[in-house]
Amino acid sequence: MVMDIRDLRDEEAELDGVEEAEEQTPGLLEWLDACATTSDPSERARLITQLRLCVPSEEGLSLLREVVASGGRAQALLAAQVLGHHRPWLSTPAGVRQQVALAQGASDPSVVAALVWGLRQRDEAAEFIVHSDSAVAREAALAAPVSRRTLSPILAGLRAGIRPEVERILLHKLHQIHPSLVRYLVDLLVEGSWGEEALRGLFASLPQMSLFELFVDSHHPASWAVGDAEGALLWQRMVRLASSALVDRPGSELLRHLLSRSGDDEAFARRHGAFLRDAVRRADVDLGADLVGHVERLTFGASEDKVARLAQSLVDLSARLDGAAVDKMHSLLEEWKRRSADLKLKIYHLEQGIG
Amino acid sequence: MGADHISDIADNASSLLHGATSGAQQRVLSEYIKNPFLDDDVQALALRTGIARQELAPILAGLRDAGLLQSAGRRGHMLNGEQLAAPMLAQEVVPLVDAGDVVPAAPAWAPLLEALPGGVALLDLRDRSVQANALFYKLLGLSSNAPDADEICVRLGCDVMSLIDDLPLVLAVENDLEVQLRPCQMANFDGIIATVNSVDPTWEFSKAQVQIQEDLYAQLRDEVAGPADFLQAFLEKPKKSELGQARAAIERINACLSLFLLNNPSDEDSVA
Repeated sequence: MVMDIRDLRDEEAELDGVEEAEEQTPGLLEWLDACATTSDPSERARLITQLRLCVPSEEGLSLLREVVASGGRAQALLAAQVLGHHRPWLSTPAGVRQQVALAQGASDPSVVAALVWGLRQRDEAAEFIVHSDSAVAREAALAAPVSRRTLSPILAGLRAGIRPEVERILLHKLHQIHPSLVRYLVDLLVEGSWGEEALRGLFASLPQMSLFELFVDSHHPASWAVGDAEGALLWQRMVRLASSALVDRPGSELLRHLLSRSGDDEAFARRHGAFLRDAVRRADVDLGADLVGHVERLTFGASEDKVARLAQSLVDLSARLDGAAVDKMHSLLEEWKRRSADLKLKIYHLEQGIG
Repeated sequence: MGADHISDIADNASSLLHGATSGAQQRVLSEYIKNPFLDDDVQALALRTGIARQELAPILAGLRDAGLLQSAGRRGHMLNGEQLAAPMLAQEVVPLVDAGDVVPAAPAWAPLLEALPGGVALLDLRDRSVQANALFYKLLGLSSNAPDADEICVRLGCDVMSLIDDLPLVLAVENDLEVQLRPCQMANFDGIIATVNSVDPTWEFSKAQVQIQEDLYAQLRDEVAGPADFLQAFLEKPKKSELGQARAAIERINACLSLFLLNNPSDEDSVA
């Protein structure tokens, strides 16, 4: 049931003046009390609907905060959830500060979790990721956006060895990190000591294109790794782990990028030939047909050199193909062989493994 | 909300699903029962529950069909409290006044009500009597032979009389029906005036159009605006190392355009 009574309430308020607004305040508390204490599920459902519908005034928000701070457990939880549902307080820094202070001061973990839920998509939620209660930490992980401000607490949580559920959520969020933040994230990694597995898991979750450009294709290590032996060592370790993470499970975007660049740029193909071969040989079987199609598009009207370079990848890819994709690959190779005797010989050698 | 309360609602929810709840459905539902104010969209729910998005969509559809969840706007879903309450309300509504004591409503307003173009009812707070025009009963699918406040309450899924302090409000009874409730005092009547309207289908069209537009903008933002920004930066300061990315950006834009059949058929060849 959808009930939006804000407009109607506005009309009513205009008609009845301030007294009406004052009369609504006790209603909020009564609903909270009744909802927390009633044993009738239908009554509770109705009251929850009411609480969803009411839009608390500034005074109502203060009352809700008071209930959170000093009410009974059930009332405090409901009040925290109502505060998280109606969030006009988000519009002012003071409102956000009050919400954070409430969450910091509350003792009941379920109430803290509800208050942290109210901070969703706000940077302030990130400070609760390392909370000792798993429900609070989980809610904080769900609520925190990935930004320059939240990266540090997110990494601190991952480094500290949080629960698998919270780790899953954070790694999933990091997978969608904006590419521009990856360099900053890597700079933050130097701040703490990371175990090999934790670092590998982190790299496996980061956007592959950014990792490739930063660690594999770039000639410029991070500033902290230059002129510092310990930093240089850490950088090399990161390069090794990042490369390994990329090659282990290369995604479609990375493979397509590698193929495109290798076709266009001979120097790139030479520099990253081994990396591309390893990546292609471990490509997901489901990506095979898509990659063959991509290679076909790349070689449309292309020079023999480009075709020869990409033929190597196509032959490597053959182990990861099945069904119609195999036929498509063979027909593509046959088509290329017909271009020239030289190309035919090169492809034949590749097929025989003597290229 | 205490654990016992949660289990009550969970029991009720499970009974609504006729025992056919899958583990995944229960997992989704338990999140809503833990926090009845949750209004996550599919993406957020997938992250919250650890269920893949493509698996979650049919689960949510099943819960929506069962009436346990409802749209919270902007692709979000929220617990349908009214639906959870409705079956019990239907079973448990006890008339506050004995049926024998109900004073038949004075027919003073009947001619006026019948002359009105919409479905209108007057619900008297003092004796719970009802005066309504035929269209009101017809639109709500109620019997007009026995006007009864309790019957209306059951139909609307809530005790309308007890909402007097919260009026005015609007109840969306079904997708295409809404009931507006307002306090009303006139002559010898003191109670609630309820008007039922069939929601104009153009509203649904507008809603769908807004949704399509939002989706389109989101897609254009991701697939065109982002790559175009990159291309602009690239063209202002070209780097050889970013040539591949620039090509990929053009491919993304082209793929998006071809999705909407906006590019020339020859474009793909030229890009390739």
